[in-house]
Amino acid sequence: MSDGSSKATHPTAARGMQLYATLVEGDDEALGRLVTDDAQIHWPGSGRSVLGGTHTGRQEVMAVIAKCKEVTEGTLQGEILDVLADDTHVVIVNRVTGRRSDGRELDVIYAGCFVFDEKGKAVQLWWLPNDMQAEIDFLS
Amino acid sequence: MSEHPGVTRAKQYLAQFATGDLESLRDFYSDDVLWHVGGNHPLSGDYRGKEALFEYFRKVQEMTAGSLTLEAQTILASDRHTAMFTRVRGERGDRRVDVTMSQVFKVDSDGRWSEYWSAATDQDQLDRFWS
Repeated sequence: MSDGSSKATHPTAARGMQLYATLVEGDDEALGRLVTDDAQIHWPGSGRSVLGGTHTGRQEVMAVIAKCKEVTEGTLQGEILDVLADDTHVVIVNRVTGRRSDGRELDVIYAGCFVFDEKGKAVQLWWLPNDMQAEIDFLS
Repeated sequence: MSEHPGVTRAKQYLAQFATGDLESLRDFYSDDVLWHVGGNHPLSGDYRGKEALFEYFRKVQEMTAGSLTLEAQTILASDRHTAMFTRVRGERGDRRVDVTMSQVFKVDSDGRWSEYWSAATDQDQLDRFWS
């Protein structure tokens, strides 16, 4: 185990921030280069959110990100609040806002939690809202 | 390289949790702590304040007969947040749970945890365990 301190300049942190940007922007082409073929993304809200559940494999990860971009009408914006990293793990605490055409708004703190393999590709991803109900209401 | 105090604190927490002495954990939390329990089961929801949180902890301890174990695979910390990737195992009658949780804690100016949220690698398994 490393010393575990926050290191925004850590190489893995930079990789995590690149991955984070692709998730928020919904850039599935870039995302395809950053995750392994068998990557999993764990999105809370299984059975309650249109995005909830564990999505396995690069195509499914890309599909859920594309779905997120579609249902949020491409309006999501992210502001990074903190970055924690060691050689294999990155946690990006961030504020995400969005506004749908029907006036619904999102303003939630998320933690993007990523585990990278030895080649620097993400193999496990979590996308955690601190207010699940707010996300469900926004996405439904 | 010296260990971040937040990592040291998290390790202390896990060691004390393993003893089963819940009361020894009170000082890790701010009085107005907000604890989000995700998933879709009877314990899901928000617990506000230390008393509500420890009532929840006592319930968890009772439901699992103290069998829940936390094994941190990685602990990360800054002055404002602590994150743990933790293997969680436990038994509840004939039900068993074995998942990895991604856990995030917000840290207040006194170094205490003031907010928590998390999710599991297999949330459905966790939902079945608590339901």
